Amino acid sequence: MNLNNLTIQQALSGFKNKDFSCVDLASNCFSKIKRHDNQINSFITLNEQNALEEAKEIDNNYQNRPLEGIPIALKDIYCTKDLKTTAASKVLTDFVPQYDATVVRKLKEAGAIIIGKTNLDAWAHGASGENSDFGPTKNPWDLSKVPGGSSSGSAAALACDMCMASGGTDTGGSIRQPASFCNLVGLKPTYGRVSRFGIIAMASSLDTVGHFTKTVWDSAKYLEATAGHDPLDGTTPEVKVPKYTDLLYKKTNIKGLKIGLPKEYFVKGLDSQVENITKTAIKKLESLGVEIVEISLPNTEYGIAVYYIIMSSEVSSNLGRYDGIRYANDRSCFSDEAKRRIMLGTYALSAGYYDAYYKKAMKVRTLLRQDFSKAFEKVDCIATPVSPTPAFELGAKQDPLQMYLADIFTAPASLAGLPGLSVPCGFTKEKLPVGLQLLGPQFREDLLFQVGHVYEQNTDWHKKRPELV
Amino acid sequence: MDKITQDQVKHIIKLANLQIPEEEIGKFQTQLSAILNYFTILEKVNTEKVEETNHVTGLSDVFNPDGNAPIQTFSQKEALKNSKHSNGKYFEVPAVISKT
Repeated sequence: MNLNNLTIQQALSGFKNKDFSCVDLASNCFSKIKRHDNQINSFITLNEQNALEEAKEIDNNYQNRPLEGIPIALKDIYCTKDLKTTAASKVLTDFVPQYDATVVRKLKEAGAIIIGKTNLDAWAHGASGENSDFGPTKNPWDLSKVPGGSSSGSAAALACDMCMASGGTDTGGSIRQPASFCNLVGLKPTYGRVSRFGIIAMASSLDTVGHFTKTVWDSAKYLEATAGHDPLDGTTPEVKVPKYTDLLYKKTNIKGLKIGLPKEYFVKGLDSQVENITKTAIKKLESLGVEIVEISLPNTEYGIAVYYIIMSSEVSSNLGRYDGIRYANDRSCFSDEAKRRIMLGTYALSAGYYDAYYKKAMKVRTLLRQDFSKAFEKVDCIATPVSPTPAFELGAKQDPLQMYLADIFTAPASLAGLPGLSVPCGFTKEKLPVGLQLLGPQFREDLLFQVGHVYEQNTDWHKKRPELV
Repeated sequence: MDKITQDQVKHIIKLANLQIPEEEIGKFQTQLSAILNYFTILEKVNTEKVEETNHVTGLSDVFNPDGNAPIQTFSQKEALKNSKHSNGKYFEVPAVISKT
């Protein structure tokens, strides 16, 4: 039996009924990895021995913790104690953290088993997986295509059922976009909902710690474990963590909910198949009782410029710590994309240019936030495409600026600190997945789960799996 | 006209403590110029009376209560564990003050 094909919900139920053991489940995942990961390249480091030992201990003493026995893969940007952490960069090839990130500690306390560290665009700089110093990850739906990025390995591994859920980070779209390209549920939480302590920093005012799952219920369950105020992260407000899974069953009726469609997201440049598939999904939501309202987010066209100025400025500061003294190899080991972003950021912050670039971007950021606040006075949530195109060919985007422009639908919500959920909503003629992005006000992940769950219950997209030879 | 000159690129490389071979500077100059040129789109936006957004949490003055700060310390051995420049007791850093 292929236990690794189960969802978290099914696995937890299976453990309870003693249908199978944690060791069985973890072993199935490792078999899948051994069979296919040489084609996909989703893992940088495996934690097999420890994982199987933990699984055995859990089988001997099952304590009914929220994620007990669930095999989870983590983006190699999460510090994991005694387990190599590289950020997919040659700068950190031998870095072994002396501590766990808060999220890692919480997942372990919930009983999850960390099976390995996944590949990514180095330092989370990218939207395809091609910027890894450990080779690109391939899209399991079509090996000639990218899985999306920067959480490329986490998406690809889960799409192949190599794990039951995977952790990622989303700063400008790095969970939502690969989720869309790989037919997964991807959550970018509200900024500050999940602690960033121990997550290798990219852009500190934008980074969020989210995850990929096969279903919306699984996503809600995972967030229950990871969310919450952390005294070690001063940007986590003391906002209570609801029992998201309970709310899913209490609020099954989405009739009367207002969903906004921003006209600036349905413009020239949007692939026609993506547009049709997204609009069909929105019609489905309408048939389920939702009221569709056309809205405007007038400053959308400035989102990329604002994002890349602010993000690269913060990156240039955060990557300053890699001086090769306390840890890491020297700075000559940075690859081109990291060098580019460090240089961009250094320039934008330097004397004579700070006002024109960084300060200006921070002001336009306020306008982008106001666009969303005004929209949320009229609607409960917002629905958009995730990416202007489906998964593209490996090597297709050689020009860095062309790659940056693909973040157009995901970056603005990041600048406003909003939560975003990408749910599977269809396939192109070439059999490539397409996701629907749902955006909500800050700390309203419950709303996104509610809409996503009802949509999922009335469609079959999320049940499809890629065929691997 | 290039948005950024080779000399400016070299200056940034120095500020950012990067090492980039001479033959690659032209490539980065072209790419950075194109990106910086794209950023000029923001000149169209009227931000006269607009405040900057520093962060989106609304939090300020986040402190830990006296005597209750979470303690996270490493032993000396743990702290030095990942360094390639250590004498077993301290980190070795590049000299800041010359001997002469």
